[in-house]
Amino acid sequence: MNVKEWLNRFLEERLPVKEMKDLSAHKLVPEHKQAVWYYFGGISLFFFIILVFTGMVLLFQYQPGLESSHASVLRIVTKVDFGWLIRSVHSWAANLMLVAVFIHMFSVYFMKAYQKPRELTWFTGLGLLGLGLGFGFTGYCLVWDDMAFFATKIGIDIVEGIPGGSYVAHILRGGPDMGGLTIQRMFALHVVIIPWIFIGLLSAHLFFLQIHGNKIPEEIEKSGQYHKIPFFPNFLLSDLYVWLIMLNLLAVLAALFPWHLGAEADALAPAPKGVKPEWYFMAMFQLLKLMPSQVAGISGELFGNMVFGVAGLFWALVPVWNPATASGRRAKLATYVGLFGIVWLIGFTIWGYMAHPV
Amino acid sequence: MNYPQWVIEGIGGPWVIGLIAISHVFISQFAVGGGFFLPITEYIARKNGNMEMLEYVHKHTRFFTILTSVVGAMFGVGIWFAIGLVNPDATAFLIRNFVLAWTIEWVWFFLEIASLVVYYYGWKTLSPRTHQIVGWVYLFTAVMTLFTINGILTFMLTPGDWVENRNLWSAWFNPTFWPSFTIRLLVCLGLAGLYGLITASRMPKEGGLRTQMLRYSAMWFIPTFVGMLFAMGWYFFALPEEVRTMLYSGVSGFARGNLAVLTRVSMLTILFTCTMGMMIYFGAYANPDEFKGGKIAFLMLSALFVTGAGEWTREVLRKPYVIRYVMYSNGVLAANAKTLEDSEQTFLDNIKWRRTGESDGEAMFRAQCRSCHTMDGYRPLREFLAGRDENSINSLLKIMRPGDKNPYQNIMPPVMGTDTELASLAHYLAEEAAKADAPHH
Repeated sequence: MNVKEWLNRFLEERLPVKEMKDLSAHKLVPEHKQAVWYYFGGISLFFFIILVFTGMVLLFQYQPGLESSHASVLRIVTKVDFGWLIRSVHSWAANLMLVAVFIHMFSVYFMKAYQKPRELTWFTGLGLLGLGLGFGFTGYCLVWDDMAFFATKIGIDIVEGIPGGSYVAHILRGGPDMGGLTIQRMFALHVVIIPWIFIGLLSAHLFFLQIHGNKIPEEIEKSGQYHKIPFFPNFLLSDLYVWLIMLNLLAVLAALFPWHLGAEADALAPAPKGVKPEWYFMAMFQLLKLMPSQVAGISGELFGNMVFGVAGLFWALVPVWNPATASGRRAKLATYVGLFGIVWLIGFTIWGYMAHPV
Repeated sequence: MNYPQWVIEGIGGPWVIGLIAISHVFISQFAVGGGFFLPITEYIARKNGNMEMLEYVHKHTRFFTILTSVVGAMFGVGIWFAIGLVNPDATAFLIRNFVLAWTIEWVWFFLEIASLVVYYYGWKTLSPRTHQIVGWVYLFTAVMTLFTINGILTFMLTPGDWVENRNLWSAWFNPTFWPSFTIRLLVCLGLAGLYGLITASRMPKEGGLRTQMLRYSAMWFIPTFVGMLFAMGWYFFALPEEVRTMLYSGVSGFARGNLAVLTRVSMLTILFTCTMGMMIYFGAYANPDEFKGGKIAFLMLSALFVTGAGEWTREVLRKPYVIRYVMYSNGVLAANAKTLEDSEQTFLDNIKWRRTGESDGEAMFRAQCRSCHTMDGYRPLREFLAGRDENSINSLLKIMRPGDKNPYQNIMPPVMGTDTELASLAHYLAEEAAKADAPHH
């Protein structure tokens, strides 16, 4: 008996290998002209894995605290061997993950993959996007440089403007002002609380995907211009291939454009020129900036936040108001809403950067 | 500075040379790799009586001939134009000192192209035996072109004993000749496989030949994947100590003003070599049915990137010289610099070409700074000098004079000239920097 045979027998006697083989043999993935969008879920997962790994490595050196946060990051990027690389990969991977998640969300939306029976996949996916943004917000603050400090301050101030938001803002800050407790709480959220919820939600998301499989857009399904390829090994190998491309992209960005570290935050100093939130909050930030001080008797910021709340709820509930059809009035409305969403997101993000140059 | 010089704002002269050279290397190393790929594949096909495989080689020869002998050769001529115009002193030096080597190179090159043309047009007309022999001739001449040019390229980084004895063979077989030749041969074999994948992927899926040729081409990457890290290690230890130190400079930190970027680009070269090996395995070998379009494009892009990164690293490792210990990257001979410093002659009296009517400061700038720096684009002087007035620039220039106290001695050529000449350069630079500031005030 050679090693391979021995290993097969060892595993078969202890694990449901045959059932797993049968399951993988029956799992098929559709292949058609729009199939490229299927890869973005996997790309998001790849960046998440990179984030977990690099995050754990950073934990060996990072010290949260008013005196130590910025100093430890400075040491990581200037003194620790390849520390700059790990930090740069972590920061770039976080941003690339959010780009991939946004593309994934919009591709799912336009393929109408949120419709029955995939509503739960959609809801868990939105939850993951929210947590991803939470990762970004809490992680950005941890370096405690001037830009991060004021961008976090702006973010928490926005939260404070929402009814009941003052409690949340107070909890996030650990008091009326930002300080050591803010870092401690952001750190706890970033490395313990959000990751646990994220992994639970991610497991559910992947479980639902496993049950329902990938959605074939209705027009392609009707035209019959698709075929199915085995998930194992064909799609999995293609997925790995795409991951390698993403690894190269990430490495180029992290190595040639190392992530910047600003001067240590000083709460008493004026906000630096060009202070703005990270790109994924820029569209919201820019829209809030445009709000007049009063709208219909309430503050403009509150009105803006209410608009976001309603719009976000409307977006999230798309499986409810467009539950089944790929054509017809509701389906068209969903498409127009999606297009409006993309145009708003990209347009206002660009506008925001033009209005707040560095 | 003995000749007029082509001044390129924006990306700068070095990058113009770099972009043309990287494109040339990407194709010409494929030409050498093809020297192995074509006759060996033909031999295997004939030996096994595999007519379909033979037809594949025939088809691949057409693509190969057009790409290497037309596009590759065009970029080759482009390099001569670019280096002659951007860095005429270094080009003149290399021609003067390597007349015999260049002659040998062009003889090999002529034979290479001639045998390739005969190989391509002889597919239907020559007997199988003669055709195969022509293929072996092509392989030999292609490898010899690499053998020759590799001597000249490696000489520029490690001139070895030539510095003392001025012997052509010492220059040719310099300390990095063999490791560099090994690396380039491995790259050639890898590229042969990569381009083979392109032709194979375009074949019909029916019949199984596509899968067979994809897997066959993928195997050509194995020597590159396995051997490259060893060859790189060999090359690394053949480098002078101070050059190796430059490669370590980015291990901790990425501060500007040193050559930390060398570490980063070298790391990318290693990573890309590994990921390409895995991409070829996951894509072409293990999953040939799904290996098409975008996957091939990204694989070729990765190969182009790694070629560029490798060539760029080799170029930057020569800093602050264009020919190590012999000529600085601004074309000033190191020996002349020493004489100039010892005799206290003026710098400008020693340059043989000046523009009519230009100030001393501008002449100093063109002779000593322009070949590497632009004002606003690549290595931008306006940005580097921002916030400095004329006095401050003058002090900086004085620090950059030859000697061990110059903190930039391993990165940039030293600044040469009398106090008056340095003051005129400082005045010119301060005026130029102020021009950019004006709109902001």
